[in-house]
Amino acid sequence: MDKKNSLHRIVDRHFTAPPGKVGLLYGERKVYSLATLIAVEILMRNPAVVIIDAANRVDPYLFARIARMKHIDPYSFLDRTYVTRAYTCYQLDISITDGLFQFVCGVNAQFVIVYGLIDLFDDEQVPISDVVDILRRVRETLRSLMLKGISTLLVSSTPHFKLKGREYFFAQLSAMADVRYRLEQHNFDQHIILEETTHGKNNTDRNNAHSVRREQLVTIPQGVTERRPKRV
Amino acid sequence: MKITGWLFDSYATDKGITVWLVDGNGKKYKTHYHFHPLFYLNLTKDEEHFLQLMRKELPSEVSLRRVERRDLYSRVMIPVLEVSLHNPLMFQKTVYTLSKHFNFYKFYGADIKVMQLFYYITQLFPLAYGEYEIENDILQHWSLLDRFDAIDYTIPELSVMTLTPSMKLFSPKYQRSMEIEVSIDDTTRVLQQNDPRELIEQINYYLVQYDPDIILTEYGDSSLLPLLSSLAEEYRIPLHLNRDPDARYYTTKAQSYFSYGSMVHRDGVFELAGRWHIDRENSFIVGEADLEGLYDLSRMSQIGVQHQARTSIGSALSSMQISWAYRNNVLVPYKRPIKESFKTLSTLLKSDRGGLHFMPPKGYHEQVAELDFASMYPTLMKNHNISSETIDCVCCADSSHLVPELGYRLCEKHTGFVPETLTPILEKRARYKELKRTAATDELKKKYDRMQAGLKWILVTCFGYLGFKKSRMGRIEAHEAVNAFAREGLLRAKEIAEAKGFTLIHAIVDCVWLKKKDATREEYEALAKEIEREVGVKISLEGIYQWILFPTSKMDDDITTATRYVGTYENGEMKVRGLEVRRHDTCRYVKKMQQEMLDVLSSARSVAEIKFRLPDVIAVVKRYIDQLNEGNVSPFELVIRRRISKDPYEYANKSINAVVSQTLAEAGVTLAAGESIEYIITDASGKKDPQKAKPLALYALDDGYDAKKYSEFIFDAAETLLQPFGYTRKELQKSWKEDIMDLPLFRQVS
Repeated sequence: MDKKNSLHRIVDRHFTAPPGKVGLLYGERKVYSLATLIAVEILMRNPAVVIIDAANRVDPYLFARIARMKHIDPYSFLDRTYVTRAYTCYQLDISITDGLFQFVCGVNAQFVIVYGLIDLFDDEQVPISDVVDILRRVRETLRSLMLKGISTLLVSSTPHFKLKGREYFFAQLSAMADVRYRLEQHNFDQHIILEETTHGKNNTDRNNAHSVRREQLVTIPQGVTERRPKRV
Repeated sequence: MKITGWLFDSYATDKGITVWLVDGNGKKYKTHYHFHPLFYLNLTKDEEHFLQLMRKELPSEVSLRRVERRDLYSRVMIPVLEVSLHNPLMFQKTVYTLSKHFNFYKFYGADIKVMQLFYYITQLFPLAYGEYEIENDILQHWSLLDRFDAIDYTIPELSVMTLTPSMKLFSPKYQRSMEIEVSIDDTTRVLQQNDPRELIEQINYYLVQYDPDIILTEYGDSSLLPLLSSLAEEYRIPLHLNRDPDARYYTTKAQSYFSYGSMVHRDGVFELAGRWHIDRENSFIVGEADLEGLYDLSRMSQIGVQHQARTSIGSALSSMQISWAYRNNVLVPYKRPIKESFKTLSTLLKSDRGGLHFMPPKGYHEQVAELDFASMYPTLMKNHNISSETIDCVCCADSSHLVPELGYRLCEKHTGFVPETLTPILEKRARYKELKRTAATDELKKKYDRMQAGLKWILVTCFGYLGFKKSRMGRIEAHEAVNAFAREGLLRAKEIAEAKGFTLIHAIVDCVWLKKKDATREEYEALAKEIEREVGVKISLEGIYQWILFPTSKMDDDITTATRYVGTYENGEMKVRGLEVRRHDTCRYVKKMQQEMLDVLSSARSVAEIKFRLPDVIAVVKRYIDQLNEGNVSPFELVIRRRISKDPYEYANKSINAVVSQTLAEAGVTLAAGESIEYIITDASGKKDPQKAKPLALYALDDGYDAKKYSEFIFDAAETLLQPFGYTRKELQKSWKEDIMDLPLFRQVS
């Protein structure tokens, strides 16, 4: 399947037209590389994209590399991608719930990507009650963004919680999303699988509304690496 | 009654704080101080009303008071509710109960330990000298004749009892039965554990008879004191480790955690009441700065001496910052850290960088000078007013003080809390260094050296702590700003040097290595002065190397590594960094061999003289290889010490660490991730002996050692020094089969 068309299709069908959705993309290691590809697709058609990075996975070098592959000046991507990093769940909380909408409007972005929303909850110094509070506030903020036509993509690696009793945060994360994708990797082949879309008022894409659907949407081309290429 | 003396120890009780004082004659006084720890809430009127209603349900009686305190970042005074607790022991429970009803962002100073609150609110500190007024054992008030940041101060004469395991080869963890050595006033006695009752009685005898102020131990936290207290409990004999019979021990469990990419293990703590327990094996600061450094740091950080001995340097720094906040009526954030401002990826590319390195050319060089910036990062933080609240502050929208490359604005009106807390440390350390230089006796010299060493570690960690994710008042932009100024400073130093005809050989963050034909010491010193004037940070000539070696990387022959080098100064003193001889994971035998090689080289004054000495250096290698092959090496010299990264049975592979830790576990020694193991390699390949290595504790002489593997270590260490002359490890190994002494010299001199 052609990569450009497929990613176009995902971005068009599930995020930008009509605007105002919450999507979840999860899977193994390369999920953040795929998120970068999606961010680039969005940048090709939008003035800016905003990333909240709680997984410490934003890689400017990958943005630059993709730009070069497309024969585009890397700074045309780097100057229009805004990022804030969070190292504790409390920082993540205020990054999303305190002034995000104003910032997004200020840079004329219609798309927010959140890396590792639940990663920072796997911390024994963070009580579950705090996590519940944070998730509630984040959910409300994402909903209000959605109503204002701003789409959010939540990106998460497949959760491996060290602490017992915290696994269900992934279910909570899933519940926030209108549409859920899984990145699958079989040897060298990677596929994005559309796992589920939800009914109800959150779902603005009525034509594709179904409770559970498995659909292979795109094969990721080899060579899109997670990190900088090795020195030759 | 008025006592002129020192604050010795303090701990919380349900009524306040127990404070131990000691006077000039060594007499101790147990007193009580009425203290209500407090925190702040920023509530709406409805929430405040709700709090009034639920007051009776709280674990402790509380008093409420409306006050105004300053917000750290906006600098605005905001109205808050001060909640003070009548029972200090219920502080955490009360916060927990309230946090079920109020958002955690509404709390300030709610996770500070009661003992710390006592010090911050009263502005007392450990070993504070003053006049204390006591009535009926109640500490009424005091007048301090001392300051926490004083340079010249006195401390009381404290009596010390030492408790150590008499078998020192292994940690007590590896010993089934233990003999304990008790030392008092240069007299040492060995107590056997054959009869536990007798052991406890003997310990009690010494405690009562000598009433020591300090119990100094080795492995006291992990083994000795837990063992003694559990025996005392089992045999129902009261053990008088505490001076205060009404108090309990303060203990915590051991823990393992990741720090800077590696697993670290920290023993639990065993702290006493009315008397100090200091475990040399569980105290970084005592290891680095001895007791003098510990006392000095404890006074500065206002953390009790026992606790300071065990806590991290970062905690000491954090404590100084929080104390500053209380002194200045600033609210201490509870769980609300400042978020990183949005930035473009192109700004991130510029900002997310560390210090600058210029990699050195590989091989030996002559007449190279090293110039070091003194305390560069903390000085930059102080000079440029870099602090969490001074970056892009609300009060200086048109500030002309900008961070290079990044353009962040810095406050020009108010000094930040980071420079405020660092300034006394910088001044104090500079003064200690001066006192060390001018000290009349060796003993004084050592004393001031230890005291400056304790403070040095705060200066080392202060920069990292700005960006530490759990730093209560840290901020990533401040961390980035320091790096940006440091890069700018180093580049400026390079430009100045090059403009004067010097060549930059190497640079690491805050040090530069320069060269200029026939340059004199005076020229380098003049250059240092000019750089200092331009950059604003003191830089001094560390020395001029007669020769210096930058070995190649072990991973790639074409490059060097920034922190591995060896050289001799003009005065013959040798400086070694990062080589096998300095590494903790090198066995003693290899260290000895490399040290002997260096000893041979140390008298060389040029590269030509090094070449002249090569036969002697190679002879050292040959001798050590011969001894290995003849089986004449003491196994104790072959012991390798490593840290395990996982619990023994979590390993999926059969690495030496896995095999050794599992062997120990089967023998009844349970180790946790981050703890160290010691072993001797018996068959690295695992072909003859699947066990690969024997733990030192289970080693028998007839287990032998893997001579081939150890000879590889020898060749590796030899290669580090000989590679520039064409002797690679492979070359050395290959030639070994013939005769290493027949190797041609200077095969390919670089």
